[in-house]
Amino acid sequence: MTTTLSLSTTRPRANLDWLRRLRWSGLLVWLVLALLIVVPVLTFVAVAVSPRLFHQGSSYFTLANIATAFQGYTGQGILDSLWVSVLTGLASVAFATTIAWIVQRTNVYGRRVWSGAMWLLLLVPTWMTTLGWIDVISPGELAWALGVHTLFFYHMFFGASGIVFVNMTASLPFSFFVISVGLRGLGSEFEDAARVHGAGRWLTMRTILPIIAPALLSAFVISFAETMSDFGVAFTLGANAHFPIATYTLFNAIYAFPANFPVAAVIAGVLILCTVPPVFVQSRVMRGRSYAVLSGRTRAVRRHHFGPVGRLALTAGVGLFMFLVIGLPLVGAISSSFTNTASFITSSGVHWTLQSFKDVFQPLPSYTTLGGPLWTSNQLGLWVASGTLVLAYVLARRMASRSPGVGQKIADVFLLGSIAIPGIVLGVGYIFFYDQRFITSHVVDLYETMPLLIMGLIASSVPSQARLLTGPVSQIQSSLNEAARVHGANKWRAFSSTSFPLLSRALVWAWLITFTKTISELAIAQILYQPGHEPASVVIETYLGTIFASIGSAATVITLAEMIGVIGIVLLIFRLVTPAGWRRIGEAGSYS
Amino acid sequence: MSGMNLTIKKTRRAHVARLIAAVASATVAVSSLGVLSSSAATHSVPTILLYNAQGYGDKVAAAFNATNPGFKIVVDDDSTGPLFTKIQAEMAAGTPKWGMFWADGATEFAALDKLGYLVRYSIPKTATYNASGLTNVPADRSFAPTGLTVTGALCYDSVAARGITLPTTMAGLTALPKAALGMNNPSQSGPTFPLIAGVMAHLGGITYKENPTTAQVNAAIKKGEAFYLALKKNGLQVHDTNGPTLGAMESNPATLDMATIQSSACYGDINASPKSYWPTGKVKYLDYSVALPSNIAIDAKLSPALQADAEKFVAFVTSPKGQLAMQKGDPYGDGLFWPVIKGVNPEKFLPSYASTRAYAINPFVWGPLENQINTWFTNNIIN
Repeated sequence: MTTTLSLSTTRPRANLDWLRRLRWSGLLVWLVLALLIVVPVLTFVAVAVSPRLFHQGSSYFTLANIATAFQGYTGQGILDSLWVSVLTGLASVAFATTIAWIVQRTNVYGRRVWSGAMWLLLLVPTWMTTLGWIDVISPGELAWALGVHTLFFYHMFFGASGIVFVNMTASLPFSFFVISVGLRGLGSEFEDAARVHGAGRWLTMRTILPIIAPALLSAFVISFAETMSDFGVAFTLGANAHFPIATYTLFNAIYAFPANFPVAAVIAGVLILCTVPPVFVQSRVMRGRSYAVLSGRTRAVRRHHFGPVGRLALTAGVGLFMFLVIGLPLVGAISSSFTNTASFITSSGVHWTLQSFKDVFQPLPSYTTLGGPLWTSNQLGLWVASGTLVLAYVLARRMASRSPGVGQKIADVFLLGSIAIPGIVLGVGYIFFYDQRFITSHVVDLYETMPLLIMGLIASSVPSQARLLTGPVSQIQSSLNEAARVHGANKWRAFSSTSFPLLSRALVWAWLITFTKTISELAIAQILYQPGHEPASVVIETYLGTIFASIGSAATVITLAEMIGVIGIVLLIFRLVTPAGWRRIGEAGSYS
Repeated sequence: MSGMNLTIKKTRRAHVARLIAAVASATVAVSSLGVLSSSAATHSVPTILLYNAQGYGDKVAAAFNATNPGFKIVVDDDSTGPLFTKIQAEMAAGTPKWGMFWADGATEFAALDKLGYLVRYSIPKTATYNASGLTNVPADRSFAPTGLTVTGALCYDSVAARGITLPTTMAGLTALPKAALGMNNPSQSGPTFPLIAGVMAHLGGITYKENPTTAQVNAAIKKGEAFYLALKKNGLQVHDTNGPTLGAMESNPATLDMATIQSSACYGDINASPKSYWPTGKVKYLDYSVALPSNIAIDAKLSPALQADAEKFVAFVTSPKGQLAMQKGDPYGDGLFWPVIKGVNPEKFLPSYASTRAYAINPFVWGPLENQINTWFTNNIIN
């Protein structure tokens, strides 16, 4: 009775608070998004129809560049990118759901190993996966040394199948983590309820999967957009694949002599627009439904127990799959780093040496040592990951809202569109906007400084991280927070005692993903880095593009090892500073 | 009682762990502030940003800065492509940061000059160019040749190419065994468009001095296209850049027998010290190769005072002292060039420049055609 009275008397004030908060927080979020993404990207895309604005032609308005972009090679590239992205998204979600279910819900051996392998896969940029594969299947490389003639796979790899495969392996961990979080938050009670009502395995699965629809759709949409924008595959496979994709044609337009910014802008605009249909489908599917399953009463999940033979077979299957997607390219890159010859096998056999690792830190006269750039990348990673986490959480909360306004919907579409923007476009867009005379003279001169690079990297990370966090955030029932507020907790106390513990693991993961992705990011870094402060990725790329690729492989191996070290330290700190209960939320257990 | 002690111990341990974690996190956070403070660092003297794609650029700048305390050359090292893109984006935005641009090739410099981005008559009178250097000096002296390499030299692996009769002319490349020949992708490799343009100019009989008509240029392009289509029909392999092309010839088994690429890249691998990267590699010059000058230019939007300072750096690199600094700066890479200044000798590994039979092209004729020709190459030769 007391509670009822209290609620009824505070409701009008609460409404006013909500309105006041919405106005300011909404404006602030849009301002940040505008400065980070909207304005620089629109500035660049505007060149497509108004080249004269940026001294790129004589017309203030023309559609000629749009017509050009849809013709011949560039037009084919756009079509190819579309079907490659759809196929990659579907394959990625299918494989990720299967692996996530096996890891989260069965007694497969080495669950931590498979999750760790996904982490490793996430850390490895697509350009490195591609080069790892080339180190395995190219003539004269690892497979040939083992007596396996891989010329057929070599030719297949440099084609559509290679592009789809590498993109699928790159999207797999994104999908795996999103779906894993969804499965973790899904207690066994739903499965039990279905089984109690007589459902078989297939029907139980059909009942359960729609509950994690936000995670599945998020995984598909992110995979689709990431593939649309992926620069690494375009950079490494695109040129020789005899199969044009949009990011490669865009890269060609920007790096042409002279640069064809208007056509590049059209392709960038198309990439953004291509993400609208998947978001629309996602929105239609999720409209008016609640997927909030995490609450104070969520129970630990129960694993499916296979018999000894089934368990071994399942483990072998997962092991083989993971070896193919991550083990083999890594073995290729690592084996290459322990040689210092143009190919793995030479006329006098294989020459094992640590020379490439030595050359990383005592480089040739015209090359840069890795030490300084790696430290710079770590510093950048810290800033970018922390900034991204805050902004991505705020956006995830807005997108998880059950009654989204027009602003949220636009933000949703635009964020996804931003995932589909290749880093190179964001980088050039930043120059186009932040190097404008009225900004450099009257506001702030940020171009070729670390803060602008940090902003660019945050802009490229926020969209995917916001969508990754949307799944976990949407699963938290608002009643938890409301209960805390009713019991007198202020906003911060309510958040820190309800949502924060439930989200802590997802937040730590999001931070780590951003940190590692920042270290391996190449496209934005190459355009916006401060002269004299090259990040590690730029230095590694310099090596990989030359005959000294083995030194580049050694530098990549060192960078990966360092990233894994940071992940270990952060997870250790998380373990030390958080109560044990935080880490058990959503964990699978056999006791329930 | 013992249970209570255990709880107290656990709590203390947790507190200590949190304290250590907090101190560690704070230390990392404070040390990472350095990345922001580096942005705020100011120089006590005026600075000029050198966009540099040469392996020796930073060494030469350091040598120059040591003897010129009044201002400082700050080097931004990168490949030609990203630097050229940045220059164009900066000019489009209106506040260029670049002060000088130093890279291989003349066509991109001609493109920048046509857009009015370069300081004209920036080559100092003190520069005593030799004959091959003078050939590559533009009429408006908007960019200064600093060295010469050639592209279109036939690099080959003597083991892989055993039994193949090497051609003596560029036209003879079409008669090689199938898939024996390779080259770079002009969209990825800076020195490759000048090679294609040089082949077209040579086939069309257009010299660097001529101001040809559109019909003459179109006829030359047609002949060049026919030549590359014939090579494609014969299994021409196209790799991105010098690195992968050389890697294909140096691998065992070699997947490529020979390639028409930049000579300095081949010499760099063959003569690498202390051990050759490619002991079986050889270089052969055909009836002609294509001259590939390295050039340096100054941003027209620099203030007059900084332009004057930048010209001092251009004067340095076009002096014998500067040329020697370039050679020493990257002795097994970009330092393997033919000097353009009188009195400076090339590195001992290089043959005489005359033996390369280098054919110079007019960058102002061929530069504007780069997009058109590269697009044709991508559509018809690569795909």
